[in-house]
This record gives sequence, structure tokens and C-alpha cells, in this order.
Amino acid sequence: MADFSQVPTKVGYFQPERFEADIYDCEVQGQIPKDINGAFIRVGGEWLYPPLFKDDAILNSDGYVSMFRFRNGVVDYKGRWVKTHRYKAQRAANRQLYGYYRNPWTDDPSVRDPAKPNLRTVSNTAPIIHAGKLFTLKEDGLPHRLDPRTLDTIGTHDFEGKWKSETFTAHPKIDPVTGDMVAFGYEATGPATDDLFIYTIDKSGAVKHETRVKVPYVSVIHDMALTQKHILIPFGGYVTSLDRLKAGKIHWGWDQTKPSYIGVLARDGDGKDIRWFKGPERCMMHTFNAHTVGSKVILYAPFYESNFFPFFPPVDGTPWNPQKAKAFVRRITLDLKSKKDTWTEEVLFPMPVQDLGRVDTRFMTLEQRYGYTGYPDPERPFDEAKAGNVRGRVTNCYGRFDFTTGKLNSYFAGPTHSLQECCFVPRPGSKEEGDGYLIGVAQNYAEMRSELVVVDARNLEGGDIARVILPFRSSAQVHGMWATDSELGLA
Amino acid sequence: MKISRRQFMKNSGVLAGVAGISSAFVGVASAYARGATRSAGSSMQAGCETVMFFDGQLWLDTSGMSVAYRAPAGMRAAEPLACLTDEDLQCLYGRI
Repeated sequence: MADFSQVPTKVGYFQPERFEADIYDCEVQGQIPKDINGAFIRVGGEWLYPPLFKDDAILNSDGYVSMFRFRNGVVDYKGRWVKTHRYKAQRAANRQLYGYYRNPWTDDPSVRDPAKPNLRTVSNTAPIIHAGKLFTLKEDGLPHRLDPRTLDTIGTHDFEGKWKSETFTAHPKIDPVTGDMVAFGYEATGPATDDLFIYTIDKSGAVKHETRVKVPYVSVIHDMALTQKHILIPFGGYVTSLDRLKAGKIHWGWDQTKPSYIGVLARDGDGKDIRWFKGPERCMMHTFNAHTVGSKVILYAPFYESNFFPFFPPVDGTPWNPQKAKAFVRRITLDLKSKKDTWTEEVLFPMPVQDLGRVDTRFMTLEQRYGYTGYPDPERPFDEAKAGNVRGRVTNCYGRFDFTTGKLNSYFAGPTHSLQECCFVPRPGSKEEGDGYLIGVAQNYAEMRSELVVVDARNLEGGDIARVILPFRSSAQVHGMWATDSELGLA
Repeated sequence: MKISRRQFMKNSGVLAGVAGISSAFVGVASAYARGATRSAGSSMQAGCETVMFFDGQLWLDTSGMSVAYRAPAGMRAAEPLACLTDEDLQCLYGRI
């Protein structure tokens, strides 16, 4: 029996949902542009059963995938659990069986198997479509392949046995020029191992290159960046060990004495040639994009000053510090000609942002002008009586951040809303960077429902041109992506 | 001390709606959260946890440095309307 009454974070707007859903022809306020045809696919987490440990990471909740399908001005919605090995085991037992985030030693004895940690994956972090296949991803396991029509889970995918890492990143990058996908797995040979495997998968979905790297220390390697010439591997701060895991602790702790690193490796190069640049304390989760100019590699990323996650506590016993859990839009320059092992960093905008940076993916790997992400604007109106005491802390705006001029354009969602990660949708037939739409899900705390907003990406100040109204709170998104009908095989 | 979501929401609604003193609520909610989040096998330090709002989610903050989350007055939790008491219903519709 499921009982969430002792989970203090599952209240009000955040109470459990746990259902699958289909809505045909959703309610829409405004007008959906008829040139948007395809699907916005979102992946996030929802607890099937309450966590065994009340201080467990929200990142440990079961994978849930949802899809807004756009066809000729009409939008359908579909939501499904990702039917992982773990999901099926819990359904069979009718209870939670799995312990702390990425710690198999804390599992119920009926499923405990530290030799096969990737069977614990919840596949709750991001979708990706490559070579006509739709996957859900999480960095502690293999991709799960889904049917793009039904969102039914087909099963795990190991690229015809050529993917040797036990894990697969949630953030592979697809080169729009070649169609290649570059991806990696860290802790590739088991928990707390320092093995990083990097792969290039061609546009047909076949592995065409593998190289292996030893990392300076075992840490979260959540995202990467790709240029036409280089692969970038950023990480920093988080630490783990087998001793820590066997002691029954959550997978990661934060060590503020650890430097941050960015590894730079030539595409299709040998892992032994990776060059590690070193930086100050940083929590490096997501990137916008990167490009190579001569001997310089330029990375745009919304990195945090320090530990973002309250549930990954500092290892020195000091309290988690929310004041340092702030992300800023940064430009990082790595000079491959320099003999120094450091980089230069510029903060391009003064305000903290949501670190879920997005771009027009037609320009991935190339020099790019715009990045998009949400941010809290405390100057905007907020109705605390209807939406709770979170004034100044809600992500109430999407921004278009011009990396060239420093100009910010802004969309405001409303006085009772908080925005999840946005996604850029290119306008069909357009070639110019930034010509398209921004879409994303807003949490409407007053109405207890989710609303998908559609905004002209070149006129954010004009407000949304359409809102898709769901009559319930859709599962929280970690990451989402846009895919055309032809990319999904639905044309 | 244990508190259910129902109790949490009920207290938050009453305090926010009647007293309107958010700082008083913060203290009460923190105290409830402290009691509610203790669990055997937990790796966090008990006694200073707060249910906080951060980046669009509710989290348990073990530092005690965060402002405790307060839901809007009268917002109910997961129980069906038919299961609410008269007092809950009046609170929900803003009469208390």
C-alpha cells in the first residue's frame, strides 16, 4: 500500500500524482501556431512508492515520460511511467524496495545487488532521439528505448553490445553537421570507479569510436559539451567512495576543497591525450554549448558557485549553503596553446539563473549567439496568498541571453507561476539562429495545474501566444526536448 | 513528533489565514518538519531540517538556513473532499 502521509515534501501542489494520462485535443488559450508539428517530450521523476529514506534525493524518484504532441494547431497529451526493471520490481512487491540514490547497499535484501547497480536506474532525467529511436536516460544506467507513438517502454539499449560502460550520460550531444551522437558513461565499471568511457555513435545508431579515460577523482559528470573539434568533460566538487556507500550514505557528498576540472579531448581522439584544466570550487551540472576557434575552446555554461543539491551534504559537516547554490551564465575560455592548466571565466549576466541552459540545437557545436533559460525576477508581481510564500524564489521568467551583446530579453509567466526548463523549437523552414518558439511547462500554484506556454522566441516580451491547459499537475520535468514528426518516425 | 501532510496543511492554513503572521508559521512549520523527517537509517543530521522551496520543488534542507515553505492558505493535500472535516472545508474555502 502506498502511504505518502509521512513525506513532508509531498504536500499541496507537490502532492503525489502517480497516474498515467491521455488527453486528446487539450484545452488551449490563445492560438497554437499551425507550423509547429512534432512533439515536446519531457522526462522527470515521480515516486511510485514513498522513498525508504525521507532525506533521499528527489533524483531517485521513478522515471515518468510525458509528451505534448502538436498537429496542425491541436495538442494531445500523454503521460507514462518508464517501465524499468526497478519499476516492475516495485509493482510486483507493492512497496518501495530501493534505498538511497545510487547506493545499492541500502536496498531491500530482496533486490540488493551491488554487482549490478545499473538495474536500479529510474531513467528519469532526459529524453534523446537519435537514429530514429526515442530513449529515456539517466546517468546511472543504460538508456531505455520507448515507442514514440505510445510511450510504452521497449527495454534497455546497449547499441548491439558495443556500449561497454555500465552507465550512459543523460546529456549526449548530437552534431547537427554529421548526425553523430557523442556520449559517455562515468563510473563506467561500477560504483565509485574512476573509469570514463566516451563513444561516438554514427547517424545510423552504430558505435564507431570508443575511448577510455581515468578521471582525476570520482565525481558527478552530469553533462558535456561538443565542438566541431573537441569533447569537453566538466565536473567538480562531488565525491564518493566505496567506503561511503557501504556505510549506507547517499551516493555523493560535497567537498569544497576539491578543484573543478574540464577535460578537453579531440573528437575521435585517444583518451590518454585528454587534457585536464583545473578551476576553483564550482558545481558544474549543465552546459549551453561550446565551439572551437583556433587554439581556443569557448564554453558557455550556467555553472553554480558551489553545491546545488541540499541532499548531497558537505563532507566536512558544515551545513549546505543556499546562498552559494546560485548559477550564473558564464563564458569559459580554454586555451590549448597555453602551458597553464587553468581557464579564464567571465560572468556574462549579473542575476542568478536556472542552470537548465538550452540553445537552438541546429547550432550545437558551432559558434552561437543566444542561450535560453529560466530565472527568478523578484521585481515581477507575485500573489503569495494564492501561491505560497515563495516570492522572489520562483522561476517566473524565461530569458534569451545574448552572449554577444549582453542583452537580455524576457518572458514573464504570471503572478502564480513557476517555470520548468524551456525548449527551443525551430520555425520550420527557417535558417537563422533563434527563429522559432520557446516552449515550457509552467506550474500554476493557484489553479493546481500545469500549463504549457508557447512563446515567439524573437518576441519574449510579447507574452505567450498560446497556453495548453492541463486539468492536473503534470509530473515534474527534469529535461525535455523537441522532435519533429520525421525525427520521431511519425510523419 | 510526527505530522501527516493533512495536519501540516491544516496548521499552515489556519495560521496563515487567521493569524496572518508568516514568521510565526515558519517556526511552527520548521518544528513539524523537524519531527516529521527523522527516520531510522537516515544519514542526515536530525534536528535542523526545513521543508523549503527551491528551484520549483520542495526539498528537505538539513542546514536550517532556509525559509520554511508555506503553502497558500486553505490549500488541501491529497485527501478527497469527501474526507475533509467541516473545519477543513471551511478553511479550504477561506472562511476561517
